[in-house]
Formats: sequence, structure tokens, C-alpha cells
Amino acid sequence: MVDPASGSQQQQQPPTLSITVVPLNVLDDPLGNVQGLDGDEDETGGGVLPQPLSEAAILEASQSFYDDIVDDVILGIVFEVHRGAKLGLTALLEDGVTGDSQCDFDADETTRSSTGGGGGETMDFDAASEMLSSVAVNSKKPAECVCPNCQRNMAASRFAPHLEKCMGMGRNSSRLASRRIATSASRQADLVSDDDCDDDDWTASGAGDRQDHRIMSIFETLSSA
Amino acid sequence: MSDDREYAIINQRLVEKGDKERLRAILREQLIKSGWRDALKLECRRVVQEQGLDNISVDEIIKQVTPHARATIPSDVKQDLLNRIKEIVQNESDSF
Repeated sequence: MVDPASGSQQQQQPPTLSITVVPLNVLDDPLGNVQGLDGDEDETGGGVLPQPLSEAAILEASQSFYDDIVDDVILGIVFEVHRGAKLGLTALLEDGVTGDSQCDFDADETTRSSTGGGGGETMDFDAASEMLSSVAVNSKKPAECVCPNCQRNMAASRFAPHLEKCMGMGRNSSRLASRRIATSASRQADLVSDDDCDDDDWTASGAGDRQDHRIMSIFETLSSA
Repeated sequence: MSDDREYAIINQRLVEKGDKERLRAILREQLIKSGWRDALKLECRRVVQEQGLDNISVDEIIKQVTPHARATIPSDVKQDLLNRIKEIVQNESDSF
């Protein structure tokens, strides 16, 4: 027992760089000697040739791998929910909804799982109701729109009337529109004469005039630039 | 004791060959189909609400949710995955 141990230690020591290759070559044939080294070599790993597992060990290992994988999947879902909760995504969608009706911020996944058509009929129904409630919440929540013209924030229901006035395309172009045009006119002296038609009602000819003016001013600014 | 090392070797091989990733993807898909995933999400949210948003941590959610989650995995899904794993482990073990 002493001989092989010291012998293999001598062989083991020089090639410190190629740890994985050398022990396997060394240990390939003298399998009996290797068993005596078990205690010494266990920490370094790869010292002993792995033995085929018994039936029970295979079952045990499979169970352990299975648990690993399941835990991974659980962890993934927990991360997702935790992130949603901490960032307020879940709360944002659940705002105004009480009790058990929950919303899913990941609409894509909900759709996928609800169309999955697996065994769980009740869960499919749950997913569908989740989607419905999330739609309801979204419609209940007043959406904010930003006017592309004046960059103001307003409720969606006010957006169309505002746009009409702001862009000066309504039945009567409003103060807002005339003010806007006035400011742009003050920047460009050519548009001063435009003030007259600003107060007029919107007509086809008026539109033509104004557009002509605008196009002319654009050309002039371009050519002066 | 020596089984631990064999287990570690097999585990490393499974990771390196991508078997583990593949099995995980299969499991995830089957669990989504069965509705398990949605149920677990609801359960997680319930735990979050119970504990309060400020007191909750990922570890806490896992601790509370895992036993129930493991127990509710459909038995056919579990059996299917176990059989796949067993086959792979058997092959790896035979190649020693």
C-alpha cells in the first residue's frame, strides 16, 4: 500500500500544469492501486476514475437533476414576478382593480398560455379573464397624449378638440392658433400680412392662401439659410 | 461519498453538452401548457401582497412558493422529464 502511493505521488507532482490529462493516463491501468489513494485524491478531483453508478444512484441523481431544473424554472418565474412588483409594473396594471382579478404585464405570454390548449381548462379561463380585465383597466385609465404641435400633455378625450384648435384647422381657428401663427410671423416678417386671414373662418380659399404663404416663407428661409 | 463526485461529473457534462438547458426548455413549455406557470405567478403575487412590497425579497418568495410549486407539477410532466433525465444519466454513467 505504501509503494503505489508514493509512486503515484512522484508521478503526480511534476506535471502540475496538465492536471486533467495526466492522472487519467496514469490511473488507467493500475485500477487496484487507485482505490488506496481515494482519501488523498478526493479533494483534487479527477484522481479516481469514476465508476458507473448503481441503479439506485442513477435514480437519486436523476431526482436531484430534476429538482435542479424545476428550481431553475421556479426561480425564473419568481424573478419575473418580483421584478414586476418592485418596478411597479404589476401595480400599475392592477390599479383600480380589487381582489383576485390580476393583470399580466406580459400580454404575449398570457396569450400563448391561453391558446396553449393544454390540460388545465380552468387556468386557460383564468388567463383569458386576466386579459379581459387588463383591457378593462387600460381603457379605464385615462391615457395621456402629447400634442405634437405645442408639446402639451392632455387627456386623450381632449386631444382631438385641442388638436383642432392648436393646428388651426377647426371651424374657427382659435386664439391658440392665431397666437402661434403670430409668434411665427414675428419671427418672419413676411407673414405679418397673414394676420388678416387668421381671424377668418377656415375656408378652402383661405387654406390655399395660407399654405401658399407658408410655402413661400419656407422657400425664403431655405434660400436665406 | 464517491457518488457525489460522479454526480458532479455528470452534472458538468450535462451543462456542457446543453442537455440541461434543453430539458429546462422542455419543462418550461410543458408547464406553460398545463397552466402551472400561471398558477404559480398568481401564487407569487399573493405572497408579495401578503408580505407587503417593501418587505418582500426573492428568497422569501422562493421559500414560500417552492413547496407548493413542486407539489403541483403535473405527474405526467414530472414522469416524462424524469425518464428523459434517467436515460441521459444512464448513458453518461455507462460511458465512465
